[in-house]
Amino acid sequence: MIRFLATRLVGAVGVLLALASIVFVLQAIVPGDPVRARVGANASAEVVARERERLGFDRPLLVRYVDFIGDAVRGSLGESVRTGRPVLADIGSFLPATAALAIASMLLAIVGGLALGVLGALAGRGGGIVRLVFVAGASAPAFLLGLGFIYLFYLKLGWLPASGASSVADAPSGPTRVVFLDGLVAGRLEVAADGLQHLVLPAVALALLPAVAIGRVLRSALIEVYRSDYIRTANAKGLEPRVVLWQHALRNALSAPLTMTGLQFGLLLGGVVVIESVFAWPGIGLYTDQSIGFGDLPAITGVTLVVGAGYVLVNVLVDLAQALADPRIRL
Amino acid sequence: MLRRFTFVTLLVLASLLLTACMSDDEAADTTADTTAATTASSDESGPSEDAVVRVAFFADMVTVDPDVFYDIEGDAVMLALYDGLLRYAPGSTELEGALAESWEESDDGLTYTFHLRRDLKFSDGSPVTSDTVQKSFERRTAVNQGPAYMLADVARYETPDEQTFVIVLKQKVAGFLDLMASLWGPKVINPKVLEEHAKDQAQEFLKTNAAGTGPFKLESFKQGTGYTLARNPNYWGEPPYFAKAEVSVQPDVSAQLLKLQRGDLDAIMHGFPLANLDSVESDDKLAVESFESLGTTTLFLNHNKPALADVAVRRALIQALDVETLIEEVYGDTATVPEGAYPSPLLPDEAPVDYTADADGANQALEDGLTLEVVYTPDSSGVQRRLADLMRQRLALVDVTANVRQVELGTVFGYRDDVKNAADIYVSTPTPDGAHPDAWGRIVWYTKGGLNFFNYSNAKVDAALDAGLRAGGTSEEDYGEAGRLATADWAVVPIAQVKDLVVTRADLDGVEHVPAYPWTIDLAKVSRSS
Repeated sequence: MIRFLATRLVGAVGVLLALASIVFVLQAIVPGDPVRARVGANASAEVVARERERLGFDRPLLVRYVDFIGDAVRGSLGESVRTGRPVLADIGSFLPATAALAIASMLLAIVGGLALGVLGALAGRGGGIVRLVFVAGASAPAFLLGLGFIYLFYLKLGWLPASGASSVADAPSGPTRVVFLDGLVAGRLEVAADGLQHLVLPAVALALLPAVAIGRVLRSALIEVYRSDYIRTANAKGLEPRVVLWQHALRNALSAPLTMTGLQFGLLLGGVVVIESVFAWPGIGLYTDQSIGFGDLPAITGVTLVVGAGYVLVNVLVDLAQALADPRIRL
Repeated sequence: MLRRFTFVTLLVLASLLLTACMSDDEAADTTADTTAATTASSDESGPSEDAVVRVAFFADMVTVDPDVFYDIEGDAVMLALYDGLLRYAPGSTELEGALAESWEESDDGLTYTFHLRRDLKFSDGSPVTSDTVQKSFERRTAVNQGPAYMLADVARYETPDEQTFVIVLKQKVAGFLDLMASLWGPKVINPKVLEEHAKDQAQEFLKTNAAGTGPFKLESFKQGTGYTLARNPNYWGEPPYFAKAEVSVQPDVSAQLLKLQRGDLDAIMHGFPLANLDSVESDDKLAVESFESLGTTTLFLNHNKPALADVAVRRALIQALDVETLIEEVYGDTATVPEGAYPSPLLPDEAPVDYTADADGANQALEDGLTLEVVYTPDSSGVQRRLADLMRQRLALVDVTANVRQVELGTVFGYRDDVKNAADIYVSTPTPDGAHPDAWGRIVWYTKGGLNFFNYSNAKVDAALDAGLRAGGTSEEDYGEAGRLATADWAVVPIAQVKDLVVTRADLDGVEHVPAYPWTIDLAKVSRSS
């Protein structure tokens, strides 16, 4: 186990270094002048030159790259051209909201995927219809799905808020920076409930696609497992279908869906940009979207690194979960 | 059990589908009226004790520091928090006093004397004097960010008494009074704050806090989420009707519209998709107002590229576009073809630009198989994308292939460093910092002008602008020549005088707009009717 973790850690450093290099070079070779965009059209040449020097944009690309890697190792991702704040501080402000959204979405995706997989494999025609509806939903572009949800659940039904993370003006903004958790910490249940309500629509919109993907893989795995001898034996022994499913079939069918969960988490982080924009969710996606429009290289690179690290971490966790679920897998 | 679960799931999905298909009125009956409690209405004309006005921005404000802020999104908040010495009267380009009650300009155009209103106070109740005004002006120069250029030619300040503030310039500055009234012009900041945070000229503090004299004060600034403003009890003017103004960050215009329809937003201040106008105009709960603005959609033609080096080719491209029809198709009645080289209100008597369509002439002037790269910066209404697309279609009629591409602002600002490899045509809608012809000519035509993206340079145009500056007026005689010379080069071509389109709840009254303050309404002037 320790060897596995050490190997993965070394691999993760390599992956992140490659990721940072690719993003840095791509952004640096795209023509543009984010400094001018920051200081404005009429700023004097002296102001532009001073800002360019202060932010290090006047140095050769290679020097900037070496400095960037060195700073990153020391825990600094530079200063955002757009906000003028350290990128790490910006990410620290926006990441908790995204983490909450991503975790909630992934939990929903796992539950949804489980339901879809089991229904698809065992429920016959009815399960097929449910699967069809989910697949249709997952086929819609994320922004359209988000708007559809707002239209139905906010405008028509009035059940859920349309956007943002809270409707409470004086909601606490710490210590976790996740509204419903901060509400709980502060003992303000109305804030916690409001925060949770705001989380529902973006989380469901984000969860649909991974839920269908996980469900499909699980369905195939379950159908395969149900054809095996030990399931036939379990049925022949007169075990209840529920017991056969939960204690025998599902556990042996989980390996592929768990791998898919890790893959989907990466895709989900990509989908966050669109969903956070539609739902005005104050997370890293919103931050990235606005940084791209500005050509804010330090911010874009910083976010890519942090998201990449999250992706690597999740995949390590998936490997561990696979080992726990299936004794045949050894780490 | 699985069958039961499947049945329930299908039942829920069917119910939701049915609800989505209901008409708006039917749905409204089933919808809790959450707006009633938050949008307290009043028949009285005086300020409401608890009413809240809600608007949204498409992007996060990164700062509310008036000496750093140099953006458009966010101007509604800046206007609500801070005052300068002057401002523009609603719906016009006429100057009126803000903190200054009156002002004088010396004959040589080098000395400006401002007489402050009596009993001015900051939002914390401390007094505003000429000395405090001077400290704020000096801070702008010390901070030295984008808007600092407005005071670059100041020789010294004088404060002969508490009510009089004098600015002496090193040399004449065209439209200096307009810069004082500009949305990005110098604002007056509470000196207490500057003293308490003297180490960095209060730059860190004023990013997310305000200390001004405006009709509202800043109650909260939540990055990425929104900003809450509360009525300033020490405001010198008429107090706002609304006790609070809540500004949320909502990047998606469709989501903004849904919130507006439900009453959780009171206005969409810009970026409304023109394709949705018909549906909004037929909704009796909503109102659409369009206002004159200085925003001018302009084609920047890269004359440095061999294909566009010849002025006859550039003119032929404009003739091929059939500008009048193009603007009608793209903007409908929300824009007009400019009357001259400057945004319309700035130089009313100038000579018109000849936009006459001439496809045959264009065909002869343009070489066969010409391929151009046309780029635009995105806007939430999608109008610039549509304009670029229609340009592509029209150019195809004269056998010109236009490859249309969206670019980001940072990319466009990099063009001037490598014009040979930059795009061929850039579609943009810039707005000048002030309602003065020089503020337009000097940024788009002047050599090294701030929005002169492809390094257009014509010594005669520069000289004509400088002559206008020396003359000190704002008439056709002063600035007409620069406009005529620049348009004759067909390198910077204004093609649409756009209007600012504001969609509001129908019960929002007093919606006021200033042409030189783009994308915003005055939150201090709006009220709610019963």
